[in-house]
Amino acid sequence: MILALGLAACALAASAPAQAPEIPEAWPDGAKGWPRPDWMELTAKRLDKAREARPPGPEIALLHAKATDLLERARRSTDNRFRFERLIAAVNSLLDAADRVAWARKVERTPQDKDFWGAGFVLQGCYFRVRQAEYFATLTEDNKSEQYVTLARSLYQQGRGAYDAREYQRARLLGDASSLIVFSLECIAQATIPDPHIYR
Amino acid sequence: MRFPAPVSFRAQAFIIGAASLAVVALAALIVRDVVFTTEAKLLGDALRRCETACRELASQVRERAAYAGDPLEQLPRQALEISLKGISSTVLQAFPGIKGGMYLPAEDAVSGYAYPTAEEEPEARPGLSGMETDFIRTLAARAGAADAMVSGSDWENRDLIVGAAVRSGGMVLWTLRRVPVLRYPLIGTHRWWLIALGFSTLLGVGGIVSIWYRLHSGVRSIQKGLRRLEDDFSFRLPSVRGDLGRVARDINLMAERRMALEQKLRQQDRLAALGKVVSGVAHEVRNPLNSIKLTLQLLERRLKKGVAASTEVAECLEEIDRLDLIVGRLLAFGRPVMTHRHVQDIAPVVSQAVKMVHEPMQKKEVRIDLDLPRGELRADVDAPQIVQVLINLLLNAIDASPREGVVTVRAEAEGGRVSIRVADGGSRIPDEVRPHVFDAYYTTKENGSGLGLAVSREIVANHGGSLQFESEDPGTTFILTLPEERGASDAA
Repeated sequence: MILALGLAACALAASAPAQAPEIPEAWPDGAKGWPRPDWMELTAKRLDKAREARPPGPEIALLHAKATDLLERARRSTDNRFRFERLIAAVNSLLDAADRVAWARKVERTPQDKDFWGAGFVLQGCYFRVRQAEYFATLTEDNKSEQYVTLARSLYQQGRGAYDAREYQRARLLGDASSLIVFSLECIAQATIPDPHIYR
Repeated sequence: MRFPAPVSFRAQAFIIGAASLAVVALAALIVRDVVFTTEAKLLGDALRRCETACRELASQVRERAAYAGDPLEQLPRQALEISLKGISSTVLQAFPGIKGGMYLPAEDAVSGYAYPTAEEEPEARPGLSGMETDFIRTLAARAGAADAMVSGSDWENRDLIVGAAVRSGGMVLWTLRRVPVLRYPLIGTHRWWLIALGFSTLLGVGGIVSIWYRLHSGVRSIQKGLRRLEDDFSFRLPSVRGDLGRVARDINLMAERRMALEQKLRQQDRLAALGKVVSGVAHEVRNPLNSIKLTLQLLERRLKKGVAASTEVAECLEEIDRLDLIVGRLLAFGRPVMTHRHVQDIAPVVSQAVKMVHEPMQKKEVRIDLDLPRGELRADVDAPQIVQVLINLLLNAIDASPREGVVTVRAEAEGGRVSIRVADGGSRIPDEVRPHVFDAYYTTKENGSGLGLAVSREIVANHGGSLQFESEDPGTTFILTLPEERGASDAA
């Protein structure tokens, strides 16, 4: 009887259809905390909130528009976990950049004595990141990817202007925003990989 | 400060050859030193640039991490390479010729990106040679252990690989550069110049040796010729090419001129001698002739008076005999002397000569001290002729000696020769007379013929010997030197 039960179990196991691998419940916990499995909804909510909260400006409007497009692409890419994750990361990065730009608008524009070196290092790194954006832009399947590059470059230039005006906090925020846009572009470029064979 | 000059051609050629080789060796050492120094400088420069590029690469990776929540090493390989390619595209473009990338120790995977020059199209993924991959692994292992930037170098064929690596999270960032070593391209591009240099060096040394050899052989040939010319003035130096040939020709020309000059001088001497002979003969002949003339005039007067004249006839006959003697001596001086030499003891010869001058010796009360060595003193001589020579010398010595004076005759052997010294105690021969002592028909005596010493020297010369004199105040010594054996004079 035991033998019969065993054979039956084996037969059931062999005849059962192959299940798709489950989406992990949590993404690896990065430095900034990656979205949870419900990140689609969370990101959409964040975008809506940002649209409502932020005063409209050309850069922020463009960032929100791009984030909306990317979120839509992410929605269509749920079957590819890697692409999906990269696009959501890009959206969040753009929203972070929009936050920095909005913050920079609010910062008092008076010369400062503090953060001379810190802002300088941020802008130095930003300079190279903006140059990397040109390369990443060539890899995206977006024919308007140049807008990212232009915006990143523009924010970098504004940051440089603020640095020259000794507005170090504003310079750092604009530089951060520029680098975040480049990171977003990098994520979009990585999302074009059709079938990443290794994922850690 | 004066340095001693090298005397021989060999030394000079050696110094020049050594100096030439030293110059070439010094030049080679300088070139080698310049090449090696430049290589070291290039290597150091490349190493510094690799370290700077690696540092910048790490800085950019950190910069990226500041805005991204995903550690690079957790991305799929393709995504990771997109990120790193973007980073390296900005960093390595500022470092032409430097390859850079990452190494994942967990997977032992190496990825590389390079932008050889800013002008050229960037090479997205340059191939890494096996040597380069091994070098990166070594550097990565060192960087992982040291947790700091490390650098190093290694050889691959004729290139030197220098590189730097630094750990960044779970991966190692690396840069490397190939440094072409100067010596090989230098040898490659200047091969023909180096061959030409070596060839010209060999040619130079060969030329120096050749010049030395030709100079050496030419000078030796001239030296030998000059030595032979001393004995045989008709000899001429062999013709040699080049400058030494001109020297040889000049020496030959000089010899020709000297020969011609000597012939001319000989002719002049002969003429002068003939003049002396003629004047001597005239002087010698005139006296008996005057005497005969006077006697014949007296005889004529006496015959007219009818007085017997046998005395005058006898005087004439005596003068005619004297004339005959003079002519005989003249003939004897002119004809070649035939010698009948053989090796014999010289003491009896000397003794015989001394006996022959016994009468004039007694007349002047001169004593002869004979100093002959014990044992035989042998010489290759014609005894009657040497006796004649010794008689001449002894008679001159007796004439020159004061009354009751002493004439010393000493014979001895020295250096394969026998010397006989005849010394008198007379006055010194005046300086103006000395050059003419052996001249024929030159005499300072009232009744001398001037032929004694001339004939004596001729006889001695025919024996291969010599006749010389030393004259001091008081006394004159005539030294007769004869060879002990026939041919000894030739050998000497």
